[in-house]
Amino acid sequence: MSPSEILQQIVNGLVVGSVYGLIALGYTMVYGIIRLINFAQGALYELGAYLGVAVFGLLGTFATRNPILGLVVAVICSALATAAGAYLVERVAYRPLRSAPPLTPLVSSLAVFFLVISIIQVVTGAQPLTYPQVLSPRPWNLGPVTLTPTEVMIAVVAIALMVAVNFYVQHTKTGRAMRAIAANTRSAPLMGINTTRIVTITFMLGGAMAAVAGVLFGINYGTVTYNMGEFGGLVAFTAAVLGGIGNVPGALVGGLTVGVFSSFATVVLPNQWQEAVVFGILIAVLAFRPQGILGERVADRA
Amino acid sequence: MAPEPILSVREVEVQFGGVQAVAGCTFVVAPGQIVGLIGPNGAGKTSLFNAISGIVRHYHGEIRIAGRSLRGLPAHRVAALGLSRTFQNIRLFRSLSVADNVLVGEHRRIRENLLDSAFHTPRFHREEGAALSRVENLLEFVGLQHLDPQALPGSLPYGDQRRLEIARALASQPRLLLLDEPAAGMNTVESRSLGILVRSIRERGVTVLLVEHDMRVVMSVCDRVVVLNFGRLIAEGAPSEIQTNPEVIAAYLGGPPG
Amino acid sequence: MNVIVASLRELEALSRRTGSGRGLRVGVGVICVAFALAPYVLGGSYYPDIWTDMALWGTIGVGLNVVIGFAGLLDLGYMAFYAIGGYVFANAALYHGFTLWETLPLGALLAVVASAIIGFPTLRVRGDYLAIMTLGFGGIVYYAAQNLSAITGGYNGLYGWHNPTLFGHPFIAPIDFYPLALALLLVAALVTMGLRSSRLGRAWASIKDDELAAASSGIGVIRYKLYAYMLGSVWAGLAGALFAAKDQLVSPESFTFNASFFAVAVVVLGGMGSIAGVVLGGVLYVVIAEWLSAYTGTLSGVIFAALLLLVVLVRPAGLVPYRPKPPRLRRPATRAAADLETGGDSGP
Repeated sequence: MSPSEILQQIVNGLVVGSVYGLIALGYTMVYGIIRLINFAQGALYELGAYLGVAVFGLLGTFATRNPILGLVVAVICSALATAAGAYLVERVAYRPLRSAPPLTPLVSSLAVFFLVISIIQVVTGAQPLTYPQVLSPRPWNLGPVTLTPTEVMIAVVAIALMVAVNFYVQHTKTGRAMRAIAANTRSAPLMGINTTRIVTITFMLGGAMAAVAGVLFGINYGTVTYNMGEFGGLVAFTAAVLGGIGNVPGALVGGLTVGVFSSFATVVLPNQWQEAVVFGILIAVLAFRPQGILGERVADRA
Repeated sequence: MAPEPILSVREVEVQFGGVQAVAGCTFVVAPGQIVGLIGPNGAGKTSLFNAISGIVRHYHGEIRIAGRSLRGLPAHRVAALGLSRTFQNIRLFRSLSVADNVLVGEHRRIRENLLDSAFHTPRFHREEGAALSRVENLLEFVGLQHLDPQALPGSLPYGDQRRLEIARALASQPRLLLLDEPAAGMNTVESRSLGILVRSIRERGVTVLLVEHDMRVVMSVCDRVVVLNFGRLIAEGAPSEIQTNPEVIAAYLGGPPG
Repeated sequence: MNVIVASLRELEALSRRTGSGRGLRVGVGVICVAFALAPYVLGGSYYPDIWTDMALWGTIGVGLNVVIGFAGLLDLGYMAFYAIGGYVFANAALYHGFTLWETLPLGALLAVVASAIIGFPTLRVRGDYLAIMTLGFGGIVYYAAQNLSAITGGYNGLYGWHNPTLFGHPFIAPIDFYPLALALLLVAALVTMGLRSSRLGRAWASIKDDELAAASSGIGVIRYKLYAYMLGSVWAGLAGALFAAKDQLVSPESFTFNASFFAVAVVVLGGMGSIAGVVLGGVLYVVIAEWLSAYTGTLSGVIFAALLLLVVLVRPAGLVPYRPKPPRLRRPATRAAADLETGGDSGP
């Protein structure tokens, strides 16, 4: 590989990785405050992507005439609807199990994941759906690397959102409450924090970010498939763990790292093995550095 | 010095996320003694217990059981050396019956291979039968003969749960038993009978190290008392000496350390 | 039929508590006998696959139950061991001329070895991470099945071997494998039932409840988790080999994440720890999948996931909750007279 090829792969990886980082936010925030690996997150990402297509469909010619405005409407509608979906998931499948043994909510979130994906599969007849072309497909030559306007837009939106979420967690009252619950679930209510409300907000925020990631993914690749949530969810979870689960900036770092790794895998490895790389990273991180790159924000449970 | 100590703790330091829970403790426990480990809340007693029993494996200094260093040994290996313990916040196996809880304590004594376990061979029945009668004796010893062995521990009164945990700990035939606040939450009558139980445990040849806040229990049961404050050992001696030690009194009244 | 005796005993314990008596027990016995005889009464051509599949999925449930139900380890990649059994059999049959009888032990052995290799790094991490790691390993085995064409045949899989006969009984049609699959289910049920009430089973249960207290009681937690893994995956290896022999085909599509998810669902739905429960779970899964696929194709995923969610929420112990056998402690009054009453599991 020449230096410019390497650079190109890094840039490609960062673009894809920023989307994964956005999904990873949901994993990491939910895990941070309630120690649950919310499998449903991958399904919410897929749901967001499909809702985005649906909005574009409803907008019809309006979106073809104003593609960027159409995209904004699609992102916002999809994020709101998916946040509502995340609320439902929390209300129905997690909240009643708060005092159950730890594996029970894990199984229930797995069931939700599978339920959502199966429903999408049935509703769409397992056919891939097509996203419209929003921005010009003509690539820009930026020195040694080329990028499409879409890719630039994706990276900018995803990273801006992650920075915004981090600001929210660090500097708002709700964010402080989230961190308080993460630090000590039991004593947070004693300080006047409404745990239930904060958990709900966290789920919804994670769901909204996953939906944005889903729409961005659809815009980037042009099609969405009913099983995208399976692999996408797993990659994003890997990103969350890699960055240090429970750690909000870690989601970005983990996402970008996984993105770059898998981007190189597309060059180095034969086609069919590319996806397996992510599994390899996941296992290696969990086995050798479960606290991730930046470290967990979660106090270790003795 | 008399016989080799069953437990020796030398310059042990335990840290928890930057907090020095135990800051250089040294003491020994001679076989057959009942030693009390006391100190105000946060003095580092439970941290020291966790280090001794192999639950906390990162500490400085040296801990030996009957001369064997415990450095790097996980909890189950420490148990194999003849140490057993109970927990401050009672950790019984909630889904296992009373009898099964104690049988888990018998784990190391039951000789069953895979085939015995899978096919319930004659040896299986022999081993399980012998273990069960030992369990029964132990339940009687700790004063739980009235219990339904099928009951789940969650349904038992608090004091019975404490005793059941002691029975489980004794089932592995330890040489040294660590009791973490065995009288917590008990009334005067219960804690007095607990004191009697601790003495009879010693009569079985088991050395006992106990953390306890109930001073009546400590003073009436212990041969020696070790006092910690802010992770340091501030006094050591017979109960009567400890009671009059000004440093100890200061520590309990919240005075400055040292 | 030992499996019937066994399920009966389990239900007996249940009915003793619920107060319903003999009627229930007899009912269940009749159901079990009916299940064993049904394909022959109905004729082998009636849903030819479904009977053997039920027995195989029952076996999968029983095996995974050791891991999830007994030891409390959530394994999301269990079908990897099923895959190993299948591919070992297919390779041995295709290229080395081994018969099914020679291959079954080999498939089981390799599944156990693989579980030990996978278990070694994974079992050190805490429960929820373990679930993800097993998912990762399951994924890797799936990709390996797709890509190591030399031994797996790639996407198309392996096929085209000759199945053996036993005492002149041919193994060609799916129904020919029914007695074999039923026998496997029976042995699996009996052995795991034996393990559950042994020293090993208690060690698992203690780990599931409280690892710290288990370790302090002298149980090597990681080692016993590894045992659960190995003794759980052996059944998947055997069932996988039978499955390949029955279908005369092994291909990666049988070992997707979905399949591993369904295996978990079978155990949770049926009742973690309960042998009768997980067998019921396996049967239910096959019935739902088979029934619905006739009409709608993909709807079975929706129904099964919804069912799982419903059970987790309203009946977390599963359809047939596990109730431990009464301990055999002799009460003081009867101590002298009582002989060792063992609960009487008749060995196979």
